[in-house]
Amino acid sequence: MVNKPLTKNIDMSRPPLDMAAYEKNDGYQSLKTISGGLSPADVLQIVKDSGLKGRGGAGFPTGLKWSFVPKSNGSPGQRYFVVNADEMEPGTFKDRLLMEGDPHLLLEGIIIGAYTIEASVAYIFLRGEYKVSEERLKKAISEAYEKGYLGKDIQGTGFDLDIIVHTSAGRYICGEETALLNALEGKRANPRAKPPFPQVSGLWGKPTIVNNVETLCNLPGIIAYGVDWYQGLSLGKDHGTKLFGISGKIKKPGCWELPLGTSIRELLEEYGGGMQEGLELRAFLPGGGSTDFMLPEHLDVKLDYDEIAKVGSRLATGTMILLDNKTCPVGMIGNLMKFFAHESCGFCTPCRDGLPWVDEIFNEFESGRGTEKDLKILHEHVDYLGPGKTFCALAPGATAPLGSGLKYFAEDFERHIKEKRCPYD
Amino acid sequence: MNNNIIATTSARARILTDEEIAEIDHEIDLYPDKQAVGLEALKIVQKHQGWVSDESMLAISKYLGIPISDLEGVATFFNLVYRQPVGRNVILFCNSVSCWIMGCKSMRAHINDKLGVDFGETTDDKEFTFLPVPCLGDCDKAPVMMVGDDLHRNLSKESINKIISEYKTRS
Amino acid sequence: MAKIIVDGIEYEVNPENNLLQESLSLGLDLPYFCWHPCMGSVGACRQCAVKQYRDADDKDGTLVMACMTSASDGAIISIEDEEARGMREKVIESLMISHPHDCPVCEEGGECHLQDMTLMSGHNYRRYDKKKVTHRNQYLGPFINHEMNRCITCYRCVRFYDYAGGKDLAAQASHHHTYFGRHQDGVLESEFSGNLVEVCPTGVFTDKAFSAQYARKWDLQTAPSVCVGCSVGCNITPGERYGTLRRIVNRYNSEINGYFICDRGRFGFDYVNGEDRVEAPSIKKGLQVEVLSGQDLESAIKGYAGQEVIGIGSPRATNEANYALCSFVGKENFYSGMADNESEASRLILELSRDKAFHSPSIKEIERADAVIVLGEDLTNTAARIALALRQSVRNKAKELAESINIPVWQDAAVKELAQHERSPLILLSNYATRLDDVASDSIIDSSEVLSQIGYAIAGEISGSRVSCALMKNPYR
Ligand SMILES: Cc1cc2nc3c(=O)[nH]c(=O)nc-3n(C[C@H](O)[C@H](O)[C@H](O)COP(=O)(O)O)c2cc1C
Ligand code: SF4
Ligand code: SF4
Ligand code: FES
Ligand code: FES
Repeated sequence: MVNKPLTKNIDMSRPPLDMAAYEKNDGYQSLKTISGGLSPADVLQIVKDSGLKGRGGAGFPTGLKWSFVPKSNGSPGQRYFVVNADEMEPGTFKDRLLMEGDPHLLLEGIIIGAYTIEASVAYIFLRGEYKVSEERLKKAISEAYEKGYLGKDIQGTGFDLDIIVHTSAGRYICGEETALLNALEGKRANPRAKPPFPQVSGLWGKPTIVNNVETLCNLPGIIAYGVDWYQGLSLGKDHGTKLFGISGKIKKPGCWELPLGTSIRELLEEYGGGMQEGLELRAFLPGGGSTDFMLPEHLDVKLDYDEIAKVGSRLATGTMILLDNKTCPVGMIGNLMKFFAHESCGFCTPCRDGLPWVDEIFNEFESGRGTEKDLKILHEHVDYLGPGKTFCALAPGATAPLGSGLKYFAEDFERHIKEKRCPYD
Repeated sequence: MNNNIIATTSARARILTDEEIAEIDHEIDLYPDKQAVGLEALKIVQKHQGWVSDESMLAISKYLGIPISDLEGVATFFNLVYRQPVGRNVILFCNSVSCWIMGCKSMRAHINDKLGVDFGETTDDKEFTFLPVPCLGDCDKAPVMMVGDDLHRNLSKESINKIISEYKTRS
Repeated sequence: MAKIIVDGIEYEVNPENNLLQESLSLGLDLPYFCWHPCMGSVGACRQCAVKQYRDADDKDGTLVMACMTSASDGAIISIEDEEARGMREKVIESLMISHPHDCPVCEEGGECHLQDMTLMSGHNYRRYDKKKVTHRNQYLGPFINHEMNRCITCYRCVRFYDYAGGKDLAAQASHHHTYFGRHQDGVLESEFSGNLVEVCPTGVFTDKAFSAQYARKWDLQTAPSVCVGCSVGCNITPGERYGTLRRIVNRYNSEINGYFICDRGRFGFDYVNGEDRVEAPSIKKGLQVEVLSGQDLESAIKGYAGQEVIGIGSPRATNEANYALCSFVGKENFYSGMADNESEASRLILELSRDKAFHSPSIKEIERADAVIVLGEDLTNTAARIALALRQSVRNKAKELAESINIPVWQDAAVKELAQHERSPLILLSNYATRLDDVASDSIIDSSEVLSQIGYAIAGEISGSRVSCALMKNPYR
């Protein structure tokens, strides 16, 4: 049985599988299952039962999200399905792998999702810099049209679907799903207030679902092989497999598909090959730049949404960034803060005006001019930029490494002040 | 409905090329609303002209019926729309966290030395524009940068030297 | 009506509104920037933070933005809560980090919402000691001055501009470089641009003409007045100093102008200060003009007794002045200053407006109309404030759609997003293209003859008695 449903076709040393090869490998099997008599409601139930959680960061149950789309009662009107392929979270490199490595898998997932919510148009909101993904997705899409998996009356189901690739022009905030919708509409990518949620009033005011690339790549397997198979893949409470990546000073940085519930130690040691010679692991961000630091003492924690939450962080994108003992934690956090300050959309006050202050303070620390007063202001901003205070989750994301970093690396901040320089330089 | 914009002068709008128009028209077909094509049109024009001049802005505004100040609001929001001339090759240099840990700072300094330009600047020979970019999603191969449409991974001073001379001979 | 509890005290509120609006109506002090009573909420500034509690047992509560939360029955909130206060103080502090603190030379001084809110929020010491962001200003025409460094990025200006149908002002750039201006220097095109002066909570947009001869608000003599720019009668407050009229600002009247007036009303008063203005009864002797005192006037009048004298009045003069002139020369010798047909039309209008069966809607009512037909009038040029009202009436469709899926109508961005281009009917019948065409469901451009025939046909439809056009008396013939 398949045990790596996301990456089974991926071999980055060659071009991705074309339609024929993909189909040979069970590709588009799920469409046959659907045209064999699964209604949208049936698919929704299967996805709910599978326990699939969104892989875009928040880990929200996918089936539940879809169920908020109003019941169509036979006349759905215009609805949209949107793929979040804006991958810009620092340290995150998993969606690129999926899109470059196996574009048909994503298309198959989109078709399943759009069928379920009865959307006749799907947009892939793709990061502009992902030129190779763009080219490969477009090629796969044209193959899918040729084959009749896209277009009118797909596989005799009476279901129509067009998939359109939209390339963005570089703003992290476009990954936030409501800002993404504004960007798709050709507006400035400020987020929207929720409620109303996109499921009710989304793209051009129509019911819309936004899902992450990796989330959707889980769907073909779930439909083709069933819920039991899917749930059997993982080692812990959360179901299925997930892409886990490691960057930083490790021997073999990379990205692997592993069962949810694998231990962090196993990922780092077995797959990453351990830290580079002469370096020790100091801390790590478990799921991209907007997660809280974890420490070596957490290495036996399982890569599972709840388990990581228990130690005060988030699994989020599952791509880890490692901090070693010779790299300055203050500098690392400062780098992240500069990113968040620059990528703030400028809509709400705490984020727009708070993050630049934080950034300026890190500049001072790096050049040895940080003061106790600055440190106090940093602490205040952790709270001030937190959840509920800002308009969207960008700034709260920034407080994750900031808050945990201030806690775990207090001594390093103090040394910068006392020694009036970066002790790692 | 009459959607006339009683707006600013379009006296200085340049004339869009047939190619640009064909590509913009193709995009118009993909969206239910012309406003959605604004950013696409900016990117199309940039692809052909290298950057988006005021004259191009006016031309797009006129062609799509998007008020010029709204279009400017979009153009200036996105990192990758260039409202100033850029060099023949744009270097998008990742300065996000993984690349930072892997030493992108010294790579930046190296490019700086080699080309005599820092972030936001263009070489005198108009060959290169050097820009920072957030995480390019290739963090396991850090440090990383793009030149034009091509990605260059695991940068070192040597590989940077090679890349730069390749692009120089190419043009 | 709904009951809510604010800091332990129960109040009756309207559940269709948000908590900010209701708190302010109750006279409670809660600072805000981005919310505006006419434009609703967007939740951008985060200044109106309050604590909300699930129920009486909830001791922790959660911070919410009052403007983004319904004043629903049973809501329990605290404005005084320490965390909420702390949040509001921090918001002001961050809004002020790049503010130039140039209040002594700022035209907004003394009537600045930002000053008031800063004080109310208790931010009184600047801790920020890093680099400030600075901006370039734009030339926006003879009326409005632009001083971007004072901006607190509340997005009100661009939201107002959109409210008024203007297309040449928008937010530019992003993060803490967000900029509010035109795409380049140039005269603001909206005929309501002057309202930016009042909508902006700080001194970014100020009244340029007023600044040229500036006086602080408290040095102006003001009195409630009514605009003479057109027949709408917007309520205004003119401000005088040293015998000259210095500026005009909006005076709130819920049935008429509300919060906004047009630029003609605001800026078109300079003739009042004109040197050759006739300020007293005068007599022209040869090339000399002599001012007459009360006594002289009477004797001068007597001097004309028995002679043929005509009096030319003016629709721009006051009723009192016209009446005085009329009684002096006698009705037969008085000319109102209006052509006969205009005069006849005015008479007809007056007659109709006295007729109880004929309802003349207030601006507030126009804003609430389901559908509007404008017959032969270019409202932007003749009664601009009504044109602004029509831009709101077309949004009723959007509000209806929003209500149908439980989006509160004050959720401004959400309502617009849902409705897209759906608008309530606005049918314009005019001789030429007008500034309202962009929001009209139909604009019919034709000759006056054809338009009046359409008018009669509509009247016939409404009254049920198809009156032949030819039988109607047309004052324009
Ligand atoms: C600032 C910000 C950036 C985000 N960037 C991304 C992104 O690049 N890709 C993504 O899939 N989700 C991103 N998200 C999460 C999305 O808002 C959304 O939750 C996700 O796309 C939902 O998909 P899922 O349910 O399949 O996980 C981001 C969220 C925030 C607040
Ligand atoms: S937190 Fe506020 S300013 Fe920051 S990105 Fe979200 S909406 Fe924009
Ligand atoms: S210019 Fe004034 S109204 Fe506009 S965003 Fe700035 S402070 Fe607000
Ligand atoms: S941090 Fe440079 S590619 Fe991700
Ligand atoms: S007034 Fe409530 S967020 Fe601005």
